Amino acid sequence: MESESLDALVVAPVRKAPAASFDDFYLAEFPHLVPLARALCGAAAADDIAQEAMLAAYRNWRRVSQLRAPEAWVRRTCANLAVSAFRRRVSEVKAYVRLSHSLLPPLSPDDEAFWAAVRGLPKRQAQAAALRYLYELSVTEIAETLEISEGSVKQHLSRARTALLRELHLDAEEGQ
Amino acid sequence: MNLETRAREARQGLQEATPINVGEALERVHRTHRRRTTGKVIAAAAAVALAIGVVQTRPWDRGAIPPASWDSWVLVTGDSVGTDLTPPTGDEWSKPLGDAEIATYPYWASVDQARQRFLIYADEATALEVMTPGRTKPLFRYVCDADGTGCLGATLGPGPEEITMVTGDFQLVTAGPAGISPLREAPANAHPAGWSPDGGTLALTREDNGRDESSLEISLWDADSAEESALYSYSEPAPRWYDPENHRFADWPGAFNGWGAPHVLDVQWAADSTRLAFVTVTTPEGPSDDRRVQWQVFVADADTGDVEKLADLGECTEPVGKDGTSGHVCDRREPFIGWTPDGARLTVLMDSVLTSYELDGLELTSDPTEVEGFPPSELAVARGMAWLD
Repeated sequence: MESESLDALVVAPVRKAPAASFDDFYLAEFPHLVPLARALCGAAAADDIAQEAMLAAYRNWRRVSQLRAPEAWVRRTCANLAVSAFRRRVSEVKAYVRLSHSLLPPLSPDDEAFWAAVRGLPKRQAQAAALRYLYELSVTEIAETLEISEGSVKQHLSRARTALLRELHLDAEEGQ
Repeated sequence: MNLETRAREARQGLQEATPINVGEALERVHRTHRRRTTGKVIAAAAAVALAIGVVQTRPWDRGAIPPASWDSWVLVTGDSVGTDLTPPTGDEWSKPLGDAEIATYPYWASVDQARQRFLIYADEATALEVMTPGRTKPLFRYVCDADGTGCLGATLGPGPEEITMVTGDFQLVTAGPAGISPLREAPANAHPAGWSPDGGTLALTREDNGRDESSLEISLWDADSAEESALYSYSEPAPRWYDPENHRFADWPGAFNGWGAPHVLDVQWAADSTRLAFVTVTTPEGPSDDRRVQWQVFVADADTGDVEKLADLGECTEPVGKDGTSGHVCDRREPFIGWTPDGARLTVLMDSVLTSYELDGLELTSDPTEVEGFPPSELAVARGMAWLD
C-alpha cells in the first residue's frame, strides 16, 4: 500500500485548548501516555515510563507549556524513553520493587501479539507505528511528535506495515 | 482480517486493559518531584558535612575501580562515589550524586581503570559526566535533551574526556570537549558497552524481547574498519506464565516480564585490549509457576572470538502467584566485575562476597578464591564493597 493510502485512513484528532496548568495537562495527557508506553515497552515498565515523561514535562513546564503542542513533546519523550534499553531496565527494577502497586490487566493473546509485533520493530518504526495505531495520528502529526521529516515517517510506516503484515499473517487489503 | 482492523481491535484492547487512576498518579508525580528536589538540597548539605568531617561516610555497596596502583580504589554507592586511598595517607574524597533515585539505576556508570575515569548519569539522568577521583567537577559534562531522552545509552569514550552514546535520533556518536563525532547509525536495540583501552574496538550489546523468544547479543565494532563481528549470543523462550484459572499462557503484567528476560549486566575490557569479560543474567526455563534467574560470568578473546564461561554465579527463585504478584524474596545483588591492572585476575563482587579468578588467557589457572577481609588494604579490587569509618 502506498503511503498516500495510509494518510487516507487517518482522521486527525480535534486540537485541544492549551492546558492552564501542569495538573490540567497531566490529567488530560497521562491516560494517553501509559498505553503508548505499554505498546512500546510492555506492561512492566509502562507506568514508570509514562511517569518519567510527565516528570520531565514538570521539570520543564515553563518551556513546555509554551509550546504549540505540549502533548507532542511529552509523547515524544515517552516514546524515546520507552525504546531506550537503559531506561527500560531502570523502570523494570523500580516496578519490581513496588510490584504490588503497578499491575496492569493482561491483554488478550491477539492484542498482546499485535503490540509485541510492534515492539519487535526497529525503534523508529515501532514509535511511528505505535503513534499511528494507538492515536491515529497523521503523518504530519507523527513527524511533529518525533521531530523527523514527513518523508521519514512515511518510510517508517510503510516498512512497519510490511513487517507487521508478515509477522501477524494478516491481509494487505481492506475486506480480504 | 486486514491490518487496519486488527490494529483497531488491538488499540481498543490496550486502552481497556490499561485502567489508570489519574488522580493518584498525579499525586505520585508531585511527591517524586518534591523528593528529588529535596534530595538535592540534602545531598548538598551532606557534602558540606562530609567535608568538615561531621558525618561518617556511608557504607559503600557498589562497584569500585582501581587506579593504576594496587593500593587504592574508587567505590560507588547508591548515592555517592568516592575513593579511599589506603593508609598511611588516609585521604578520602567523595562526591554525592545528589539523588537517591540514582541508586536504582543498575547501569550507573562505565569505568576506565587505566585512566581512572568513570561515567555517571547526573541530575536525574538528564546529563552524563566523566569523572575522575579527587575532582568534584566533571572532566566533561554532556547535557542530554531537556526531556532527558537525548542519551539512550552511554559508555566512556575512547578519549580521556569523551562519552560514546546513542542519541535520541538513534545515532551512535562520541561527544567530548571538541564536539560531537558521528560513528554510525545505532543498530536496533544496541547499547554501547565499552571501548577497548586502546580505543580500537567498541563492544555493543543488544537485547530483544520477542513474542516467543528473548535474546541477547554482544558484538565488537572495529572503529578503523567499521566492521562488526558477533562475539556472543544467547536466546531463551520468552517469559510466559501459565494462568491456571484461565487455562492459558499469558504475559504476566508484573515486573517479571522484563526482569525475566536475559540481560547483559556488565562488560569490562582487560588492560591489554585483547580480552573482555561480561556478566549475563538469564532465565532459561520455559513456562513455570516460578521464575528462576541465573547469573554467569564469561571471558572472551576479542581477536579470536573465543568465549569461555568462567563461572555460574548463582541463582535465585521468585515464586509467582496466581495474580501475577510475587513477594520480594530474592535479595541477591547483581554481580559486578573488574580486571586487575595486570590482567592476571578477574574479580567478581556479588552479595558482598568478592571472588578472584586467576587467568592465563581465558583459562583458569587455579580455583576461584574468596577475598577475605575485604577491603584489604593491600589489594585494590575492580569492584568491591567496603565499610569506611
